[in-house]
Amino acid sequence: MQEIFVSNLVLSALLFTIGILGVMWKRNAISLFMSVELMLNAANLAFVSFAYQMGLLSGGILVLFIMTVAAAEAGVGLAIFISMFRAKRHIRVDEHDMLHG
Amino acid sequence: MELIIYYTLFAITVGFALGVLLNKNTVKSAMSLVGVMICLAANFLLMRQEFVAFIQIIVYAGAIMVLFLFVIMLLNLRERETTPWYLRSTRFWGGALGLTFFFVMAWGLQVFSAGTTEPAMAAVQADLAARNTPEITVLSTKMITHYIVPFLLTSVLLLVAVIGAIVMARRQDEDGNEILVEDEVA
Amino acid sequence: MTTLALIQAYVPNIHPAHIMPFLVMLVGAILCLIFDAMSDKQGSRDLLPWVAGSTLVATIMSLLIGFMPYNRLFAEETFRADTFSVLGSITIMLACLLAVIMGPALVSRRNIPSGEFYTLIVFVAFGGMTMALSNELLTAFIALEIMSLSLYVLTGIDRRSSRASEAAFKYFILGAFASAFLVLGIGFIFGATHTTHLHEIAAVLGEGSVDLVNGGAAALNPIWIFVGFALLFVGMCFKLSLAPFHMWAPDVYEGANTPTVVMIATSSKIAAFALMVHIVAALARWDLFAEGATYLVGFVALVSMIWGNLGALVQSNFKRMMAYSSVAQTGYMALALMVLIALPGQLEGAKLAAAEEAIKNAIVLYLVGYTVMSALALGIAWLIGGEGHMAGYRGLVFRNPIAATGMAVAMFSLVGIGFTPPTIGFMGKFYLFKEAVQYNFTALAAIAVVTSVISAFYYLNLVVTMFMREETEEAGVRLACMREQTFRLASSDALTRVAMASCTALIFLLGFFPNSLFLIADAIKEGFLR
Repeated sequence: MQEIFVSNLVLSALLFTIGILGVMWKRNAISLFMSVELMLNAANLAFVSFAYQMGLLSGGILVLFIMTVAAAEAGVGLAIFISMFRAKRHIRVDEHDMLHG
Repeated sequence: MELIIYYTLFAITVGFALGVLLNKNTVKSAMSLVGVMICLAANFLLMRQEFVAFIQIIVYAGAIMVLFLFVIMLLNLRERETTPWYLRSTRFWGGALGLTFFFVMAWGLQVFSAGTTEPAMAAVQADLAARNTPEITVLSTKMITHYIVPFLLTSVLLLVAVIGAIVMARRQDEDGNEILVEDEVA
Repeated sequence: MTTLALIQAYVPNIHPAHIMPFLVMLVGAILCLIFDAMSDKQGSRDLLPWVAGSTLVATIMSLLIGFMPYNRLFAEETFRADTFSVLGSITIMLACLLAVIMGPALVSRRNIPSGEFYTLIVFVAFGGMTMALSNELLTAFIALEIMSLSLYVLTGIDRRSSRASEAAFKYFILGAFASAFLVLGIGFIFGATHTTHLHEIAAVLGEGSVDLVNGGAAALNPIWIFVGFALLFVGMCFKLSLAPFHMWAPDVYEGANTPTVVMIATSSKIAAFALMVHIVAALARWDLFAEGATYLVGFVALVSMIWGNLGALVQSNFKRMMAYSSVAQTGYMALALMVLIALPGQLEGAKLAAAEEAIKNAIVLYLVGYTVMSALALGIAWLIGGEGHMAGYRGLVFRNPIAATGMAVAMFSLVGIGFTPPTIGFMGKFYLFKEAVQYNFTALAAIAVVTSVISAFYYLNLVVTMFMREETEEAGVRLACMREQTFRLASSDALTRVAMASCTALIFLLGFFPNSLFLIADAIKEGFLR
């Protein structure tokens, strides 16, 4: 089933690219962060595919750690969004921000 | 048979991912992301990585996405994307850059990964089965021996995340004083 | 085999003494939290910075005493303490200590939860130290996340300021974006070499083939390693604010509170550079890698030097200028990183080891120097309230000659080249450029010198503003206004002044005797315990 491995690497690249495009195109903070989550998922897919192809059991552990990091990041990130929402009443990423550049 | 399932799954995953990208409604795009995660879990199952597949569903689809939806509902976001992306030149060039990134990567991966051998995971798992050791045992043992330091560091990371989330999301009164839980209960 | 037997067959190989600095920091951080929870009056909370500060000092002591084995792997082969990482860790601690010293003034006026504030500063130092010492990519990644999450929160901890929350948001989104790149990069390197331990990666690359699980060996797949390193490097570029991935830096510097800016500018960069140097040292043994990576890192260094310096020219806000200046300064260090990658293609054996040591020393000297210089500049700006528009600096010398002189020292040192007495900035740049010229990167070194000359325009412009412009009513009002906004606290200010004085002393001390830094390095090597 080596086809699965190679196509999975390509799928991982594709999901990662869609994530990058999302970060570039989206204006809403939460959509932006969802695109980042998509990129992390793509990275997880790459890990698992490599583990599958090479027979590395430690791949599963690495994925587990990365999921933990993603969860921690999501917790803090969403708290930051809430705090920004309270301060500004919106979470758009516009050109008319106070900080620009 | 397996390949047919796999490629169907491939197509569905890409479809959901495009849904995340193109949906203007935040909730719909979050649901698409859940779809991607579940498809990836199925993909992991096809690769005989049951443990990771279930963790993927429990942690990602079950916990992280619920958090996302919770925040979307909490903030009651009704905002939609306003300007079409192709009207903004920066976005256009960003898109061009991203697609170039993808094609270079996909090409390189295709060319350099072609002619690989059969995946080794099946043999490894057969070997474990012959020795009557469940895979999860090996995983957990590795985690608390070989990867003990990252494991311990993860606890610090979660502590930081808890502190950070509390600091950022705690409510304040008009003067900026923190509202404590005791006050709210009383 | 039962689970118990499996575990007993392989007991984790961690000596408690070896991880003493980590334990000290964690105990200190938890103490901060407990202390905050137990104290119900503001009075006892005033002791919190002392708890955090003494934790950092105790960690420096434990690093100097040398609990950790020098240049050997320890704690399940996860850490390695060499000169670079230990000196870097100590500098990280000192930068965080400065943030702790500056903290009380911020906390008291802006109504910031003090327990969490100091705990997170200790966690920044913890993450930075772990990252600088780590020999394993996953550990480094988690440590990086510990540091970054703390910094995101510290950036936005002043929640009444919508600038701060916006800066935190930008920093967070781009940081998360960067860490996705990092993870994918680690994934590819893991896939190619079957391991995440740097010494094993180096061994695999040295052999040129990787052992397969079910027997036999396969040739290395170059594209996986290239893609892996490129993604990892892009991720680190975001954290290091190297151009063209620096777009968050000016906004975050402007929006965040100054104690946090000190840590973002120094601690996070030292940690990331230490990790990059270790990764590069592991990968560069493979000659195929060196060719491609030299171009990649060289390009980023070039763009950073040019873009950073040109960007700083047009800034009118002090902190934004410091942000662009940090982009440029990091670019100079990336130049040395590139030389480090290219070295194995030019030298061999003992000569190579000696040359690598020299370059690492040059980078660490520059890192320490950069830390001292930017800490001095930001600290003085904090003391006089000059974090905003630079018009506030007009004729500062007539109102506050000491602060103006200190700022001038920092600026001359940041320029580095030219007619100044030997400062750390001069020595650091001298060694960096010397290494670049020595290994045939003359063109890049020339560009580095030219961009340094350009940087003189904006650094010295500030000096001219302070010393040669008439003091205006408006400038005084501006500073007074900022001072009012940023409030004062006598004890914190006094300690900050002491810290600034020692920074000034260090700039000249290390400028005249750069080797004294390596005396400390030798002391670390020997260790007081060993």
